[in-house]
Amino acid sequence: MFPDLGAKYIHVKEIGTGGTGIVNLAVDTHTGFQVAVKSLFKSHFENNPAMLKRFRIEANIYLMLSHPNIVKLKNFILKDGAHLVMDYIEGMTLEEYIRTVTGPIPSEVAIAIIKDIASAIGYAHQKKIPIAGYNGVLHLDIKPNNILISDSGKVMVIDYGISQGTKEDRMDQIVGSLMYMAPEQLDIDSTLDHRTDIYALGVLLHQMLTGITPYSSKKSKEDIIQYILNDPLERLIDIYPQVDNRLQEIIDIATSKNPDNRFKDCEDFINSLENISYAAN
Amino acid sequence: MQQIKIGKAPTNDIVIKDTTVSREHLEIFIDDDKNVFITDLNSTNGTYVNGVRIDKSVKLETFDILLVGNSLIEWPRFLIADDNLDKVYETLNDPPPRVNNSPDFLAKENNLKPIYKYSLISILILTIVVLILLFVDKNHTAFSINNNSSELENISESIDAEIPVQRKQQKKQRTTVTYDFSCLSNNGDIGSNDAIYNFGELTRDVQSSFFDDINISVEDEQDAGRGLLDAFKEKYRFINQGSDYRNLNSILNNLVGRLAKPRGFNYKIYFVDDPMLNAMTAGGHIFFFKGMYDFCKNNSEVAAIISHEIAHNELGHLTLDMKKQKAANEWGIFGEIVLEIENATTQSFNQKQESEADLFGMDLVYPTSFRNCDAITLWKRMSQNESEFDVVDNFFRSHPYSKNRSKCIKNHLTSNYNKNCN
Repeated sequence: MFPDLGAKYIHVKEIGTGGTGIVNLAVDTHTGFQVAVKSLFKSHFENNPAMLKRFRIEANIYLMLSHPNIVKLKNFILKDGAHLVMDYIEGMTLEEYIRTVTGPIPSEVAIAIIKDIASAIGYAHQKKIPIAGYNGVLHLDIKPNNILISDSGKVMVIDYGISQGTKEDRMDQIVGSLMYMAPEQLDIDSTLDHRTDIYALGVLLHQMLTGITPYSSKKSKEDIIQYILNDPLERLIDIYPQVDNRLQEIIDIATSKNPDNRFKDCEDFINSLENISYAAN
Repeated sequence: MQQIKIGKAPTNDIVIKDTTVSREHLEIFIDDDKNVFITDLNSTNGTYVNGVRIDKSVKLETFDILLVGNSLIEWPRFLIADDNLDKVYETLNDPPPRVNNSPDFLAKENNLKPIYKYSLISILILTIVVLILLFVDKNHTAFSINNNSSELENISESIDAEIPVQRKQQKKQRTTVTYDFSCLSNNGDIGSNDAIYNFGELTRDVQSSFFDDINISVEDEQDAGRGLLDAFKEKYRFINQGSDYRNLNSILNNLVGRLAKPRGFNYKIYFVDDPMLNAMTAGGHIFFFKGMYDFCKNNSEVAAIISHEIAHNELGHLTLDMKKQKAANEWGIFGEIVLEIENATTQSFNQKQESEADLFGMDLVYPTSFRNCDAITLWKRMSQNESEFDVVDNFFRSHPYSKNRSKCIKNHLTSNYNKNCN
């Protein structure tokens, strides 16, 4: 279903649906560029004004974040619902990429990808934006489905839809992306900071290197929660023996249960990745 | 008060190089109260607020998105200097940022080898191999024995060569607990008949002292375990990779790490690719059937079973039976007579042992993050399931019912850990 956005946007096809909206591919007739239109329909937020507010904050975050690895806002339309018009990235999600293209990603490539992601996430952390409650922008929902790999190999971070968010937003999220959550995220009353994102980066790197989702063996949500709270991620080498095991330590630091033991910021994380050198082929 | 002109012409305060932007496109006015008003200066392609074209002056509200031609304007920036963000927090009506608090959390060969030559004894090894929960699909009840081994050892070896993980010092099981089995002598529960129970106990005591002179070491038990492993290798396929397999190993390692006084078994778990609802152990080898794994709803239930199997080893439940085998080996036919006595009373031995293993297992589970109470729900589900099978022709029929075991676990957790399960 594509909303009537006037003559400016011509609908091409639907490219995704989620619990709260639909994403369509369209062409901006003024510029000729393809755009992705993420729509939240009126029925979704009529009884939940907070949902619309969250969506508008998301638009403002994209507006204010200007980074080569963060998808850009092109327009925002409040008409028959709310619609985020974004740059369209031709490619696939990192989740699809791992699942259908690569399996375990070679360490060198995985490092390059995670560095791009960390650079975008770190940039947002530093960015002061004039929205109350935001002193630096946290993503808080870093997962392979929220990373795009373009056909040209470019890495893009999408979906700042949860970002800081309210308690309710976070409750919704716990239902959604449990596997990538830091221990502190499971405590709905805790306050999160940039180190929560660093934890998710560690989990993401783990998934790239092993080719499987973390905790894939756990039988229930309760099991996953117990593991997040108590156990380190599975050893890389147990899952994929060809892995560069030097990355294990980096993942262990990034995913420390106590935020104080993690990398202090994304730059710190990137630096330690850069310290892993590969002989030139 | 502040006035900002936006357009393509270099005379503007903000110059936008975009062909869709007019030379003089838009004027922004900010009053002393930080209210922001915009006026379109009759531009060709228009000014849009949240996608709606404006034709006169409008006041911008928090979160409004301003589009000029094809360019978005980051207008909230005009409200503040970059180095003075606090004012923005005042300007916009939302509550101040939250303060960050850290969250609250947070083989020995020689002695026993000849034994396997006796087929009667071989069958016995299986009978005595301590079974945890039983009740099976009928087709899978007969075992055959044969010796042969090879690659499986290697696989389990490689698990042991795990990279050491930095963990916090693991909490061990409590050693000050008391085991109370009064829960076993109950009415109305099939297989928990007092007379049988007491008779079994008595026979057991007599047999125990009878075999006092025979010593069984951990190595002897491990030999028996290897015998069972060889037999199983013949009969079943083992799953030795994949996430479920790793999951079992991870739970095993977690639980073994909790043993306060380990007897010294080198525990290994084998994931048996068979739909039977079963798990069993001998000499540190634990056989976990896929049917059982699938039956478990979560890892706490899996942990309940694995801890139970570990307990059988640690509690030496195999020892007496091993002594009888050894006696049979040394004394020939006399041993066989002993074995027949044994068969008559196996049932009641098992109930006590099973329950003892349950409770010891709970002690292992307690310091982990697995939930003790889930063991109770597992046993309950298992006993419900049991009635669905025609148990008469079931090899595991002799195993006593699970209801009392649940009760024992419940009592154990309450009296030793002050933990109440529903």
